[in-house]
Amino acid sequence: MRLPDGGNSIDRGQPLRFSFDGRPMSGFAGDSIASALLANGVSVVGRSFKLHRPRGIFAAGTDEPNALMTLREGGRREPNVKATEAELFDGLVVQSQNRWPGLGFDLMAATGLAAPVLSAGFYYKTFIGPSQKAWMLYEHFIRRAAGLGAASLEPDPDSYEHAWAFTDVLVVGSGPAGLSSALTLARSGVRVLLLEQEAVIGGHLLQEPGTIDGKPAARWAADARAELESLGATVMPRTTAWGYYDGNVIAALERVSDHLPTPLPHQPRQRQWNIRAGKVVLATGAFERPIAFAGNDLPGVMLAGAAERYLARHAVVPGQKVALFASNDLAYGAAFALHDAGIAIAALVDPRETPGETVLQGLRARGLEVRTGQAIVAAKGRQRVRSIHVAPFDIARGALVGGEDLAVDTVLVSGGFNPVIHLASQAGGPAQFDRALQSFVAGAPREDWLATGAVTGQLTLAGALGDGARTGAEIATGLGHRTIASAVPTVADDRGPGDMPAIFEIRDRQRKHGKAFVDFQHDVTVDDIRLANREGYRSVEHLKRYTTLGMGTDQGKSSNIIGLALMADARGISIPDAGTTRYRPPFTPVSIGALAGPEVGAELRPKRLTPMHDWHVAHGAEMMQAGLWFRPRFYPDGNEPLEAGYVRETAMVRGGVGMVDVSTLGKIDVQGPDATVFLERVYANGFAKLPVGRARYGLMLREDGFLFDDGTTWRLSETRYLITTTTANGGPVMQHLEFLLAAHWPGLRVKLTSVTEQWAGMAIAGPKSRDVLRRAIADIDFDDAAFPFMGVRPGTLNGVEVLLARLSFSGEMAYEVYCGSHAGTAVWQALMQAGQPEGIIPYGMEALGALRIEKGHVAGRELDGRTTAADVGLGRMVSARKNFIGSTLAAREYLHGEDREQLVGLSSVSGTKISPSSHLIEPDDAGSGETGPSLGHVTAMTYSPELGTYVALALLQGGMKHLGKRLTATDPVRGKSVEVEVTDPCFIDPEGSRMHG
Amino acid sequence: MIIDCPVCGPRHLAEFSYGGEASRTLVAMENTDREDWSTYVFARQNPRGPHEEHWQHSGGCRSWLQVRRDVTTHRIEAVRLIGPFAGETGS
Amino acid sequence: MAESMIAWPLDGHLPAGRHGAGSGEAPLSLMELRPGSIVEVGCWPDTLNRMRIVLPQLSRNATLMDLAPGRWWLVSPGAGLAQELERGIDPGLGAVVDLSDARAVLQVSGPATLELMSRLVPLDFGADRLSPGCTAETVVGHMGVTLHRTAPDCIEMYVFRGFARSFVHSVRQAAAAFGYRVG
Repeated sequence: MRLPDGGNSIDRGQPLRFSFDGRPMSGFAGDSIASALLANGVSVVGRSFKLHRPRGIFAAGTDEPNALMTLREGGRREPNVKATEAELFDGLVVQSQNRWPGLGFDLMAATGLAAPVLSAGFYYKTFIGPSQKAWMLYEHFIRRAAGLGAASLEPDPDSYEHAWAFTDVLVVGSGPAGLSSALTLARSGVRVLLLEQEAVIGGHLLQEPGTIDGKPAARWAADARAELESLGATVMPRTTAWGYYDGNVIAALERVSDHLPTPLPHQPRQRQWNIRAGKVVLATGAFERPIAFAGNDLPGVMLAGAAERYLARHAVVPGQKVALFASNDLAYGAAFALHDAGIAIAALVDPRETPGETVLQGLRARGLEVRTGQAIVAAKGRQRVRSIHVAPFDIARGALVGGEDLAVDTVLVSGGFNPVIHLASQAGGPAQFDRALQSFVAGAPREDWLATGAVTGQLTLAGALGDGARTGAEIATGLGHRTIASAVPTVADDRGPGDMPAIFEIRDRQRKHGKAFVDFQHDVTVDDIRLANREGYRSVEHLKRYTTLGMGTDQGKSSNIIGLALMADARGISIPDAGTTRYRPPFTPVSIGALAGPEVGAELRPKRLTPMHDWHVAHGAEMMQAGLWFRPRFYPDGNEPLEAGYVRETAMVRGGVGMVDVSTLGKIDVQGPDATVFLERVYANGFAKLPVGRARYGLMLREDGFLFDDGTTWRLSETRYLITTTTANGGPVMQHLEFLLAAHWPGLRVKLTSVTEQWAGMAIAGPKSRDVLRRAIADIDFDDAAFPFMGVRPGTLNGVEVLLARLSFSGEMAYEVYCGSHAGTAVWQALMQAGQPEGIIPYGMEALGALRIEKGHVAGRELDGRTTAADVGLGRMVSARKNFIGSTLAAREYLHGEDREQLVGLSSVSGTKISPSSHLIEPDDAGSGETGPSLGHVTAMTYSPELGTYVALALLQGGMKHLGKRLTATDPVRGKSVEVEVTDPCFIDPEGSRMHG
Repeated sequence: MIIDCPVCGPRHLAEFSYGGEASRTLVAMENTDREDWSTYVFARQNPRGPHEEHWQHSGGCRSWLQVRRDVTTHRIEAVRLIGPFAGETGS
Repeated sequence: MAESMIAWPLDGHLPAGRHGAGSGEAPLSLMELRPGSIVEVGCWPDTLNRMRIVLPQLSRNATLMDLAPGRWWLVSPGAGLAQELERGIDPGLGAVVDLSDARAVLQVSGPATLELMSRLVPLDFGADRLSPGCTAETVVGHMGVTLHRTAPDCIEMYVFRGFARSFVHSVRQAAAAFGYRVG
């Protein structure tokens, strides 16, 4: 219910309409969904995960376990949003979750189907081991019954941004400690970035009843923000620091547009920040800790601080007849504020002997009485609290005597405070147990951070402000700034927590009152934790996984410490001895969209296009991706299918002339007085005698002696070479060569520069290729003597400088033509034009592959990191007269065994297609249906128009020793088996007469 | 993780490529001892604590670096440029 | 070489006009730069001092970018700088590599330039290192990029030619949040 006035965070001039499960409701700008639901009198907001119990709003921030909602509709539908975190906007559609058919009447709860069986370890006991089949059977129903909201199946229409920020000091949290440290730093001239996860700056200041320098605390916070911004500090609201990474890198999510129906034009929905900070101030505050008692999950039971906050910020009260159950002084603030707002306080229950003097004064001033030495044993009701059972309570023994029932509609609970050490834990040593808090504080920092304020256990306003100012001053001084004495502000009407005894549970030993919950979100009860102990799941890690304690979307923010305390109690050890788990990112859930940022859909990875890309597309090429590169697969003639197309292109090259874009080949410029020495060391074959103006095919080995890459290297001058690599290995070869120069031979005077992008490359191949080039390039003599096979010649084409090398990957007469990339399309077009009389065609990757398979030339599938030069028939190239990278280890006997898998050709006996994913096995002549072990595998397959059958390359144990043998190429996954004959891998023109012309 | 490249300044891990353990003894090209090469190629110290590593600033200046990183904390204790300009900083 | 033989990598991919958020004067301006020459020059430790003397003399009207020890870029509006440098730098002194066709160059300018940069590159422009005149090499969305800050609010970005379109798409998408002008 909303009070007629008050609420420092809402704007009553801006009413908003929204719907909850289809019911129209209203709120104000500045409301969270939770405050708006409370204002509309909504009590049950969801059903619990396993047991489908009705649940209400329990907290007011990121620690909320119950109020998970599905927001919006269509592509923007987002499940499992905490109602306590999400801001209300006009027209928002809110749906509750995990209820069927409705919140008020839920079938699963009504039948009580779930309750008796779903105890700790239920899934393990029921479905693991012999009964795994049962899981297969029931999974669907269980997932339906125990569930969260459903994600939208439509694409997310919004965009997400990534951004980087750098700062001297990052302050996380804008409560009293965070603000005062940021102020001190900014006043001292330090570059400060302040993050606040909420829309409003101020944190706990927004609900503090005290005044600071005579101003209401909320007002002081607003003024502090204005001063920070005037000093040049960056203040980022709606931004959650969720991960603390090595090197003081903080990941933070800015919810740019979550509070709007749709993002403003061109703005992202969310922005993922990577922040590098010299120092980090963790002013992350503390979560209030509940106390477990029977029925503590009923709607109407709420954290005391949450009720205080809803009242102060939203003028919303949780009920009309309120009981407080608190074992600390701070929680009385909620009851006092509600009393002052005219709400009936039915009972103040405090298990301690007495609250502190400030509380006693507050009680006297209001004429309220406290039941000291008593406890709430149970909350009762069906859809909401109707009454509580209160009994005298002996703290020392936990014993209860007698008691009475009181009619209430709301129970405010507070069992102490848990520092929010999540970020500190991500970047620090094991958490330390603090006896005064009965909770954990941060361990020793492993990154450059300081914790300040409530996160260190400093729970008074003046203490937090002073702590923050000291932290800021310490950092500013350390950075060499002349610290401006930041006057610690004066606080009036401050309050403190008083004594906080260790009370985690009011144990109902007679079990008269039903279940007491620890983890509301995962329905983990106090009995589940004791059961885990009895069954031996005692370590905190086992406890967590067996009971699922703390494994919900709230990550146990309200439950972890209680669970740990109960386990410690059950084992008869102390809480720190029972241990604590390390927190990991993210602090709160982060959408996948924000992590992906702009890298989605067509922009998943950058596209690398050759200079002639547009020509290929304009000429109907079907493009394919090779790594990041886009290359033409083939150029279909009308509706021509792939196989017909590549066979046509292959035949055209063998019979006429074709041209293929080879710009993607890796190209490295090697220059320097020691360039030849360098190449001698990195290639397995010799380069010392390669004359200028000639190219040589080179084999590069890894240090372990296996094949790394192959390509041609062109000698451009005495001291300059152009290395070409395979498309896939352009980057790795460059990296390999750079490493060798840096680590092994820093004294060699060699420079390496990637020129892959500088040169457009096109291979023009076929018996008529020379005729085409003669017509196009006048200043090169193409006669065999003048331009022999493996020759390299510069020339000009239409005024463009070109570099030609007479190389052949296809086995035909062929040339590679290189020119500057900007002129690539023009040169390509000129050659296509020049080749018209010969009927020149462009060909794609499939034909390129077919041509090389027919020639037995190796490529990526054969250079798979497990083959040696000898394995692929290139053993003769490996020089025995020099030492090179890989030479020593390549000589290992093991790499020369007779039965290694070695390159062979395969020919389909019946002419049917060989699956390129086949393994080779002995033929199953007897038809027994039994298959033998794999003798090798097919690496590449094509139809050979020249041979009129399907041929393949394969790596076969024993290799060419099996020439002429018949094997079965089998692809059991696709159910395809073909009889093949082992052949020489070079199917066509083994003498090479065609390319030598 | 941030590596302070001597040429480019502090940069994020995403710009670097790992190049293996740097405390290995490089083998001279003239040496054809199989044991020496095997040790160099295959044997690793894999210490708990400070670890000498090669990293390349592949998404930056492409320099190869020798980095001492504590593998238990990821704290970078030292970074130096290797190669012909070893010891130089900045440009 | 005839201009008609040249296809600039961003031709047609930076449509002229006012784009993105807001109206009125855009806080960003994007433009493809079309330098006739981009040349990488390298040397070795024993030639470093000599190169430091020779290079500024040879570079004349070219912009000299100091990228790493013993590695520079020279960028000039006119073509043919590589050949000129090859004549002045013998193989014993250093290496000259023509990269004139290897990069697409995008210039970003305007008051929102540094804010746009925070969406694209993990670089701290607040520190002294990247003041006007400085260069940096980094990665934008898996694409290597060489940056040259030519003025407080003006940055030139050199990216592999093959990535030109993906790169400009990324920049335009980020720039749209601020509003930008082409031409």
